[in-house]
Amino acid sequence: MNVYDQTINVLSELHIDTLGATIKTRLKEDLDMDSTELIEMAVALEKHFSIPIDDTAFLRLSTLGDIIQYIESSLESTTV
Amino acid sequence: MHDHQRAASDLVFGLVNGTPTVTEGIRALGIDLVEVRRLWALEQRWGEQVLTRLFTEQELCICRKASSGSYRWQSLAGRFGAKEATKKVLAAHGEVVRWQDVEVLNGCHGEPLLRLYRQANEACERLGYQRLLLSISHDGGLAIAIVVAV
Repeated sequence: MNVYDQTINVLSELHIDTLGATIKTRLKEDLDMDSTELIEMAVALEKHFSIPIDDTAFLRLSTLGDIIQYIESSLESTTV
Repeated sequence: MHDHQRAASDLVFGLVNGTPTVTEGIRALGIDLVEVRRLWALEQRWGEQVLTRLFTEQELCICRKASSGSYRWQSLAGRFGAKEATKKVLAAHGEVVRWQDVEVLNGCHGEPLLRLYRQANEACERLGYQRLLLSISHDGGLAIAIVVAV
């Protein structure tokens, strides 16, 4: 399963409605995520992918595509 | 223009070292509403790591001292709201800060006080804010915080 599908699964487990979501889907405006849900998403993704997530960098991300890109680059840097 | 002709919103009244002062100009305003139960549920699901991500050791220590469990969570939710409200004040100008860089402590009369560190402090200085004023309230399972930058 690729990073996108895994991320969608993690969001679904957090009861975030990702039906019809694409990489262009915006976290706040389209998925209606608030600050508490963003924190929970950061913690859940950190645990799922075993990567450290920096709050400052993470809070700058606005779309699902941004999240996927952040995770992929974190995975790359941890495997190098 | 004379002082008495200025709109009330242009003036901020406060105390500096016990002396009444009038500061000109509210520069920015941030507000946040937090459902206390949701913060509790976060900790229940993910454990202490969520709290240590959001709060400083001193904040957690203050809230642990609360004799009532519900007051502890109200207090944490109020602090979280204050951090979010502060972030909104700074984010209006594109600044993004960590939750740990905004600390909410208590003054000698129990009033909430904001302390900014690292990126939050730098952002505040860059924006030219002299002070951030904070007020927190909680009732009915909700906590609300307002931050005014002057």
